[in-house]
Amino acid sequence: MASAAQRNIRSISYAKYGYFFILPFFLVYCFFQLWPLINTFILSVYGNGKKIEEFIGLGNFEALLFGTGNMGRTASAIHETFLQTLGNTFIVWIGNFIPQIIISLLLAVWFTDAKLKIPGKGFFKVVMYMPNIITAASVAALYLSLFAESKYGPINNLLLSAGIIDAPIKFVTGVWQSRGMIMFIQCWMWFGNTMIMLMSGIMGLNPSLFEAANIDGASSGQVFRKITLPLLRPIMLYTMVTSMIGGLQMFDIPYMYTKGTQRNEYTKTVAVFIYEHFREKMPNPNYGFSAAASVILFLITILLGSITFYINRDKDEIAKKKERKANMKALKAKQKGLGGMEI
Amino acid sequence: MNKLKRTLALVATLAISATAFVGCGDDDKNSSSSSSSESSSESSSQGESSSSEGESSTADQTGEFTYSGSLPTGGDKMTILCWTPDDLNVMLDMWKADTGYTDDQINFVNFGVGGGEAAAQYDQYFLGGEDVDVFMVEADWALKYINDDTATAPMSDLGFSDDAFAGQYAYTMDIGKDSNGVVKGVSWQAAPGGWCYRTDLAEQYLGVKTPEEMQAKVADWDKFQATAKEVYDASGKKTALTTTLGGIWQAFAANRSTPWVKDDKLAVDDFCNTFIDLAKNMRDNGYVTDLNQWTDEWKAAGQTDDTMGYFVSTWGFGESILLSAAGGEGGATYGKWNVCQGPTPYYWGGTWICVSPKTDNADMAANFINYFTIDNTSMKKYALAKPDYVNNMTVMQEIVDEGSNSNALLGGQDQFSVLHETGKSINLNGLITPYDASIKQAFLDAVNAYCAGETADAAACIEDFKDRVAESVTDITVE
Repeated sequence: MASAAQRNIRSISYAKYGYFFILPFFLVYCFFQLWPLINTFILSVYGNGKKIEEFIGLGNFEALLFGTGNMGRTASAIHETFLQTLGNTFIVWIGNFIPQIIISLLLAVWFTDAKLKIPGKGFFKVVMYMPNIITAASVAALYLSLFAESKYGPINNLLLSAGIIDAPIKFVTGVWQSRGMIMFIQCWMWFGNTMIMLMSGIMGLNPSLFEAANIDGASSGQVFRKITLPLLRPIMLYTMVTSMIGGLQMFDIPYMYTKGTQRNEYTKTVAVFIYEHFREKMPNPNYGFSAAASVILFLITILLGSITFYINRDKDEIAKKKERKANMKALKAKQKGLGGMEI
Repeated sequence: MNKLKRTLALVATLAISATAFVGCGDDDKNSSSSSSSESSSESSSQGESSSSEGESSTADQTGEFTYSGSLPTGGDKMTILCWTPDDLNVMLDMWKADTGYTDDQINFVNFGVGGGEAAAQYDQYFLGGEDVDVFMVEADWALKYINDDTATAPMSDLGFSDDAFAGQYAYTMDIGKDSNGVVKGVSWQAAPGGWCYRTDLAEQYLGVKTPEEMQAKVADWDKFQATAKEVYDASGKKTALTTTLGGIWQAFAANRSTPWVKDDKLAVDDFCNTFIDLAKNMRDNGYVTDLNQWTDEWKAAGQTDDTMGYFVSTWGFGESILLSAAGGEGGATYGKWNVCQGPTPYYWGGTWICVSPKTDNADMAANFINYFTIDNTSMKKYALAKPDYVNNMTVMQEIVDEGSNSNALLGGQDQFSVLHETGKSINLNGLITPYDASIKQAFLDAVNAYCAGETADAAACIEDFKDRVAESVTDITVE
């Protein structure tokens, strides 16, 4: 017979205390993150403005995606704006991601190349990372004052007095000028970050591979294409996915890079659209549209994320797995053929 | 031993998670104390002896004001909500000094955001159920709360009859009334606007020497456009009469003779077309610059000869508009400005005081309202000390008559004398709706888009305007 104490000891499970310690996080998470998340889905099926408590099913989605439903002119107007903001989001994201990844990759390869011996590497790394440290608000303010679009704006003024242009360039309200500016700002802010990430990826690769390639007389182009890029795939995938999620949610610069109180329609992203309907519509905000647009954005993110993963999957690994499975099957079949007897 | 450990772990966990939720709890202290003070005056005497002392002492010191309303009194602290401390700090200091209220009795909650964002902050705050007695609202969204009986109490419940506010500019009373005509918000400042122009350019291009002569040149919108042409031609196609369409719209919108929303439907009428034509004419011909309000260039233009005028309201003579446009004190055009009434009387902005029906310090709230919106002596004191344009025709008339105000920015002109006349003649005819701010902004955006060539013609501009309203104001029908 075990004593009471012994029985107690047996029942001790230290894992329990672990759960106690992580409990606060989960409590806070559930209340402040999980519930608002679920609430977004709930809000998306309720009305807008004063009709916030009226259940309207998929009416918001219908209005946003197809511009139909029983909301009359509101539906068609909001459909048009939503599509435009969605288009803006993709245009601005693609326009900043492609140059960004090219510049970052190029710089990362140069900075990690043992043969190149660039002086002041640390200095350049810091300087290139710097824009990312400045808050987006300051960056927007900086570019707004530099590229103010009347003839009093410093850049316009400079170009005008140098005789390069005849009329001030509309850096803030022009369709492609403003988009271009935001692409440039986003690219400028984030290429340092991406570069550091890619550098850490490259430095994690086995140096003996590069040595071997050098000894075999591979050119730097060949090394890049045949060694660096394929091995960098997981990091590239990570960069791609994080940048895509960030890009779809792009908010701060498009929100702040505007002329006075008037927001530019060509640079309004979905996140800005959501915020506007959530906060700025007076006297009653349109929570329904806001939530429905968030849900749509969420679904798009899932879809694009899955596609990215599918495209970037390791085909060799999958082929190998299939082979192994086939082998196992063949082996089993063989065993069956032998009446399940061990040989 | 194990039990002890387990208990300790549990306690620690609860403590950590509890701290995370501190912000969630609603502060019941005030509401419970108010209910207890309602039921029996004795029960609150122990914990709040200081506040009841304060009350008795105030009664001695103010003397002139006695509370006669029906809302409860005797709460712990009077909570005042505002989005900026600029005015409130000065006001509260003066009020405290004159009435004997102390810091312990006042809880000033400053949200520190722009006026436009304050409504959202208020909504959050009201949801939290915390103590609120007095809150400030901005003209743009005042009706959101004034039409809501759970948010604002009628002034009559504080013991004020409508006659008590007879000295105020009429238009400020219109905004403070709910849809049934009950006064629920009162303003301490009036914001009639005028048109400021460069005196040197006016003399050079128009031969105008006094504000009266200038006023004759811009007395209505037709003359305004004709004068614009005159200036533009005389300056060799360089100087625009005024800086932004936004400014013109601010004044022009006050002309409306029908409400924007009728029977929950957006009313689009000739008024819109008139403004579209005026805007297009002025913009296409260079009579107004293509700058936007609230940009750096907007203010910078005031130091050049590219523009001759700005639409400016009472509060705009400082840093916010005209002083910056002149380049600050001693700036390029400092002292070269004058103000006249402009084509139409209008107001621009302003702040209203509302009292929550859940107040538990109605006597203090009423005293505050009396001090800043009714009492001539204290209002004059505040007007001169701040200095601010107070919402009291008697006081402003006195200040104008004394002629003590001479603004160096305006070359010594007294802007109060001009604005006072405007203020008296603003007539809103009860046309305001809660959606005005959104609708007016949507219209301005649509007109700006049209002038920038984004929409083809006036009809398309109206359609664009309807779309913008339909998208942002979902509570009304747009056809």
